[in-house]
Amino acid sequence: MNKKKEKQILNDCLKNNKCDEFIRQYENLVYYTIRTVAARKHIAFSNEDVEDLFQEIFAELFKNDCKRLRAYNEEKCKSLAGFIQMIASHTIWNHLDKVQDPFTYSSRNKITAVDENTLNLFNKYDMENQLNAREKILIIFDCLNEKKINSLERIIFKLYYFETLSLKKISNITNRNSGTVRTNKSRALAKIKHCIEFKLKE
Amino acid sequence: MHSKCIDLDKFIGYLNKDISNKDRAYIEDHLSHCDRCLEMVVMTSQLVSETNYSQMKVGLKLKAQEMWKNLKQKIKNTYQWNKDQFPPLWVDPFLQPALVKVSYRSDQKEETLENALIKKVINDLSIEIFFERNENLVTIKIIIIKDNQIAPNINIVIERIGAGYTARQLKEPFAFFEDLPFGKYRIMIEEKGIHKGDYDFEINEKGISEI
Repeated sequence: MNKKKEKQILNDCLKNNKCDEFIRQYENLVYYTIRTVAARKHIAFSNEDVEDLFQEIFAELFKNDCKRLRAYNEEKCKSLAGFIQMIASHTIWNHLDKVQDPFTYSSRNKITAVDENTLNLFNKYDMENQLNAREKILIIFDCLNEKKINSLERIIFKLYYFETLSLKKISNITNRNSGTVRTNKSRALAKIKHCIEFKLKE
Repeated sequence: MHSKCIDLDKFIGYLNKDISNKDRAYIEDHLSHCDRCLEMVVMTSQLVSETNYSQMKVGLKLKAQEMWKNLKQKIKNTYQWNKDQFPPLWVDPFLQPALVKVSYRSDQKEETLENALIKKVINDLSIEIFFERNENLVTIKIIIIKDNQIAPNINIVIERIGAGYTARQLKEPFAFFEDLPFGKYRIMIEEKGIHKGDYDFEINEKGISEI
């Protein structure tokens, strides 16, 4: 859809209170966003969940006299479709906070104590390696939370090593040039290494 | 204790790189400790850059019309009566809130006026409607702005559904409709004889509800 048509559909909705064409143009984008986020989070949404979220997302756009939609600035956003997707994503994530799928709950950070029944499932050699690995990961997390590491260093470290994003993608998300990203990544790594060495000596 | 999760406005601002340095620092401080928000930012950024919008098919007209009808029901606003709200300046330009009475003598009756203020945009007209309630009767004051001044050549018609019409021409400082009972109403706005839009609402003891 070209910018002119996009503007016309938006104006029809905002000025004439005729938003059915707006819904028609973007409903499949919203459905796609819901399903993609669910798939990436390994969450199974029922058709009812999908429809509820769909309503919630458009309600967010239209409520309070289309306040959210009126905030769209075509000079600052890449596209209206992208703007809608951001709102959709945020709404879906808020919904996910209320819902937890008991079969696919993912928690990278929450490494809980292993109970005896679980211990018995592993053979001793594997278990020893796994426990060593868990211990190392816990030390890394501890070091990552140290005050010596600033917010940007922490974010870049996590995005690079945990989210496995390229420096280019990190640069785009954080709106920093690649040199700054590289420097902060190296600095974070050096600080964490130093912290790990210190903790292992204790 | 870390800051609360990112609200939608800051989230959009951060992703669009349209944010102050102060807000960016605040958000990044939060992202550095909140894996949930960090993951949300990453996933959304990837989604927006990877989605091929041109391949998204357009939905069915009838289905969209039905959805819009349902959504309008879902998002209709309700404005409650408010005792503490000062009227806007265009209603009372000489009001000085600092001089408003804070106590009454026992032989004086306390005023029981309640009010509500609604702001709407219809077409290219910015409308403010101020409702003042005195027991079961309501006074409505309406101002319509276009291009930063009171819109000229405006006719305002109020229909009490099932009961009749009242019309006023918009003249400074505002259009004034007095002693309206509770019920359902429609405000119709005309500019130079051309119908610009309507606004439907119900006035009751709780406040103003859009219909």
